[in-house]
This record gives sequence, structure tokens and C-alpha cells, in this order.
Amino acid sequence: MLRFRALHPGEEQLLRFADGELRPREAVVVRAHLEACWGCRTELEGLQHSIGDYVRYHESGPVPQPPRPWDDLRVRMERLDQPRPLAPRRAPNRWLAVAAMVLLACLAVWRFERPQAASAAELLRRSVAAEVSAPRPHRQIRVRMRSRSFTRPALQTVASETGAAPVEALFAAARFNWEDPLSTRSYAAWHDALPEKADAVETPGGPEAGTVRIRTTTTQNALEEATITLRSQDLSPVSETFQFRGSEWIEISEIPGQPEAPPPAAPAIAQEPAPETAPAARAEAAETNAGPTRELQVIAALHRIGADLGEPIEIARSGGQLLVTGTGMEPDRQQQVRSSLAGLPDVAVRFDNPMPVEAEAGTGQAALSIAAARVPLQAEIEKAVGGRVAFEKFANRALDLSESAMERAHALRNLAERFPASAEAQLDPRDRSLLATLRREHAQQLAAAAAEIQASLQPVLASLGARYTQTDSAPAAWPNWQAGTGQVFASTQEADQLLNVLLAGADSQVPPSSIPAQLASALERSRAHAAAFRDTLTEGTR
Amino acid sequence: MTLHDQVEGLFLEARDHVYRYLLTLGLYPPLAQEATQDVFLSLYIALQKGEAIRNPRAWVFRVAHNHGLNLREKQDSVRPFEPEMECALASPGKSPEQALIDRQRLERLHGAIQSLSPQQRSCLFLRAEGLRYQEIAQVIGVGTSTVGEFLRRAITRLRRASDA
Repeated sequence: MLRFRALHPGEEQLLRFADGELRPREAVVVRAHLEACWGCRTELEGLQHSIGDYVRYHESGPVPQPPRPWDDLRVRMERLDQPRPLAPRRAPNRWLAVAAMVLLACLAVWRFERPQAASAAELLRRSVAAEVSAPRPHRQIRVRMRSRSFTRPALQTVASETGAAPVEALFAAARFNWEDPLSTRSYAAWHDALPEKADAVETPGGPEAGTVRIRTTTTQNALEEATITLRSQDLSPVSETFQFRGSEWIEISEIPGQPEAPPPAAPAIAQEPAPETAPAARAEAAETNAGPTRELQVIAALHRIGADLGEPIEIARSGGQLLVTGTGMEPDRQQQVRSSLAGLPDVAVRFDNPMPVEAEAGTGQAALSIAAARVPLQAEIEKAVGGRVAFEKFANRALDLSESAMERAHALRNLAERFPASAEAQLDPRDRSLLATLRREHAQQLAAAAAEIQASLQPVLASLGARYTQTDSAPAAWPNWQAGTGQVFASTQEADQLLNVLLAGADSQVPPSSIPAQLASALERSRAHAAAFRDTLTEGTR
Repeated sequence: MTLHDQVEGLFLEARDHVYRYLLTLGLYPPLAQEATQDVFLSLYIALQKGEAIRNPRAWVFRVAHNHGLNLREKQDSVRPFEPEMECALASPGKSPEQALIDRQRLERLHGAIQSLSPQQRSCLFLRAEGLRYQEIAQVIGVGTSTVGEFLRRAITRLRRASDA
């Protein structure tokens, strides 16, 4: 059935248009539509009006005064330039030098407590600032104690290595961040929370020359003494020692030149079985194959850094090469993408700047009431979830989950389009296994998200009178995973669209009274399809 | 122009904006002020090390966001951002009737902004600072399409407030 209404751009599309965030092709369509449609022009003017209100509020609104005058940043930059932390700021006069020697002799008895505490705090602050500005490169660390040692990624947010639980417990007791132990931020967080402590700053010699060490002792924590050694050049931490009460000690140090394991988002890839072909033979084959194999390797590399989930990256074949193009990405992210693809032959990487803002929209002051009709069931949902604030939280959570599900569905569809059965047949066994791992992981995440969305929506939809029906949710048997992907994508998208109608007031032709029931059915279909797809892929690996 | 000049220029230009952004994240004013200065010192360190930063404004807000969230975790509580409304409500040169209308309108707008989720508020703030969706996405750590959706919902709420 033809629907005129479906031709109108939605509110978000209009906003993106006004913000110059639509792809050029979409922008052309919307612009042409606006020329013809008074209603949408008025809608756009309403959006602009609200944006104008906010901009006036933002710009002319109250700017609270900071509690004290701003520092002279130039002075602080000059301090950073000085070869501190240990060199004095100015060369002292001779008589001052003599006095200083006397003073130092006295302070040696007192262990420099006050001045060194200040230096340690300043060092930590500067190191944290450096760490924030330049996240450390991925790296491995070695954890050593009396009885054993092991290595792990410096940043580990997933389950610990087997056997590390006792160490983790020690750190937990001391309230020291075990997820990222070799980090000045973690050290500073522990340090700053101590009610009583003494700091000392040391400059080691010998093999540790070129570093500076902070030593912190306390009687108020399970960790009675800790040190962190920083590289003088950039104040990045290179090692730490921990002395726990009860005489257990632990030493953590970075392993230079060792890349960190892939991030937790892609654990399955990291646990791939050993290749079925010899590495040397495989490398040789890869050198000569710029087709599906190389494409899969590129996707897998992007997947490891989470760049295959909705980021503006295109992969296209160009001559004998694969051209990877990123649009509007920050330099840091660009570098991550470049690094992830480094070493893959026949792959060119390019980054484009985003299109300039298109100042297309009108600036009229037309008022347009959008009032309650936009989210007709909001009041009922607020009642069900416990108020307006709870509604916002609930809606944000559900829409974010749906967004995640759509990202996975898009990633699956992308794999299916790039690797139809004929292309998959060209892959060698290891690459077929890699492809299977990629789609399995996406399917698992998608199934988990779909189940969570349904579980969170079920009580709300029930309160709105909707019932789940399972009669039409059982998927048909799929001839292959590519076909299954299409159905899973369609059902995920349907659920996403209806969810946006219910919780975000997206345009729809569905009568308000029918939305809960239709959404309930769509969520059940989405969940059932995603679960069946996941199970099919899992069974295929047995 | 030296690197000191460049960073100092950026600091003078944007420090109030960064400070205000950190307040909206829930930092207490002294911490927000110190964090603001840290952010620009971080910028200096990064530039000094030769890091290529094409869009310093987006970079500064990204670092400020991450730094602010880390600091907020250490606070005992989150400080709600409640600017001095009276300052903004002054309407010099307007008739009492118009001033009253302006005041009511601004109060509705202020209430609507306060009712937004933190992420929606961040998106609005950063968009008003001139950041693109992709940049906002990187600052607050969500997808670009989520930024579009946050903004749409936020604008919808503001429209309701102004139409009420």
C-alpha cells in the first residue's frame, strides 16, 4: 500500500539535514522534498526555533565564575619545560647554596616529608595529565611475586587470568585498581584516598637512570608501601612495587615492545584455534591474495579495535588494492585504524574530512505544537516505570540497547554481502574459521541485546495491555547463514523502528493504541530470530 | 607564534566553556577549575610531543570529558549544575510584561534542560560549541547515530517546553 506519509523525512533526518550531517545523496532528497512540502518546512523551522532558544540560553546564559582567579598558564607551561622534577627552578646564589646545604642536612633527618610530599603530588598530577592526553599504547605487563610470575594486558577489564585471583583480592583489599594497575591514575586514586601517608621522591641510578620514583608508605591500608617508577622523559609509568601487610610483595613492570592483546570486545578472535596451514605458507598465500581473504583480514583487524560497528569506514576494491576510507575521524582514531591495518599488504588507508555544514534551513519563527501527540503513551509508560526521570533512563537504556543490536545486525549484513557463499568458498579453512568467528560473535551480541530489550520492555508493554505471541516468531530454516542474516536484520530493524515510535516519538502510521502490541510481537520476533541464528551458528561449529 | 602563545590563546578563548562543561558533568567548582587547567596543560604536552591535533576544540572537550568523569568518581557526590538563574533572567530595557514573558519562557527552557539525561545535555552543549556529531560521539563515547537520536530527543523536549 502506498503511503504518502512515509515520504516525509523524520524529525531526526530533518535535524541531521539542518546540521549538515546527512550524506550528500540523502541531503539532496531532503532538500528537494522541503522545496515541495510546506509541512516539513514548518517542521524544520520549528526545530530551528528550538535550536535558537537553546543557543541563546547557552551563549547568554549564566557563566558561573570559578572560585579563584585562573592560573597564568604560561607559567605552568614553563614549569613543565624545565628539566624537573628534581632540578631547582633557579640557580641559587652561592650564599644561598651554603644555607641550602645546611637546610638539606636538617631535612635529611626529617626525610623531606613536606617538600617531598608536594613533589610527589605534583609529579603524580603531571603524569596523570600526560596519561589523559595521550592514552598509552597497547602493551603487556609482567606481574611478579615470590612464587610465580605471569603476563597480562596492561588494561584488562575482562576476567582475570586463571590463578590471578589471590593477587586481585590483595588489590581489592587495598582499593587499588587491578584492571589497570600500571597507571598513574590508578596509583593517584589509591594515593589520594589514603587518610595518612608519607611520600618520597627518588632518582634511581644504574640501569634505572632516566627515571624518577615515588614511594608512598602508609599505616592505614592493606598495602603498606608502594612505589611507582616514571620515565623522566614523558612521566609514563614503567614499573611498580607493592608491599602488602603480611609480607607479600608484588612487582609489576611493562614489557617493552609487546603489543597488548586484542581488546575485550573481540575475545573470540583472540582465542581462534591454531591455523590449519603452516604460518609461513599462509603468509605466502596472503601475499598473493588481495581478494576475499584480504578483505576478511581487514574486517577482522577493524573488528579488533571495534571499528566495524557503525564507524564511518568504507572498504572498497580499487585496482589490485583494498582501499579503506575513514571519514571525519579524530587523529587518534585514525592512528588506531592505521596501526590495526599496518602490515597488511595491498591495503591503502585514507581519511577524508567531513563535508562542510550546509546552511540550508530557514530561520522563520513559526510555532508548531508537537505536544503530547508525539509520544502518546509516554504518560502511561512514566506511570509504569516510576516517573519522568525513570522514563528517561528507561528509554535511553532501551534505545541504546537497540542501537547496539542494530550495529551488530548491520555488521552481520555487511559480512553476508561481502562474503556470499561463492566468495566464502574461495577462502582457505583458516579464513573460513575466522569469518565464522566474526559472525558468531556478532550473532551472540545481537541475541543478548535482543533478549535484554525484550526482558526490559515486557513489563511495560504488559502494563499497556500488550501480550506476547509466539505463533509467528519461529524462524524458517535458512539455507545458509547469509540468508539467515537477511531475516535477522529485518526483524531487528522492525523492532528498532517500533521502539523509537514508542519511546522517542518517531513518526509512524501505526495507530497509538496498536503500538504496544505490535512492538511486543516485533520484539519477540527479533529475539527469536536472533537466538535461532546464534544457535545455528554455534551448532555449525560443533 | 610560539607553542606557549598558541596554547595560552586557546586557553583564554575556551577555558570558560570547558569549565562550564565540567560543571555540567557534576564536578564541584574548585575541581572543575583545576581540571580545566589540567586539560590545557595536557594539550600543551601533547602538542609539544608532536601530536597532530587538527581540531583542538574537539580534542580539548574529549580530554575534559574523560578527565571530568574520572574526577567525578572520586567526589563524594555529584554536584548538580544550577547556574544563577537570576543573572540570566534580568531583561534590561524591556517592559515588565515582556520581561515576565521572557522570564517564564527561560524558566521553562531551563527546566526542560535540567530534565534531560546527562548524555542529552552533553550532546546539546557540545553541539552548541560547534562540534560535529562524530566529534560529539567520540567525546561522550557513543555511536554517531546515537548522538543524532539524543539530540533529536533533546530538541523535542525543548520544543515542548517552549510550546507549553
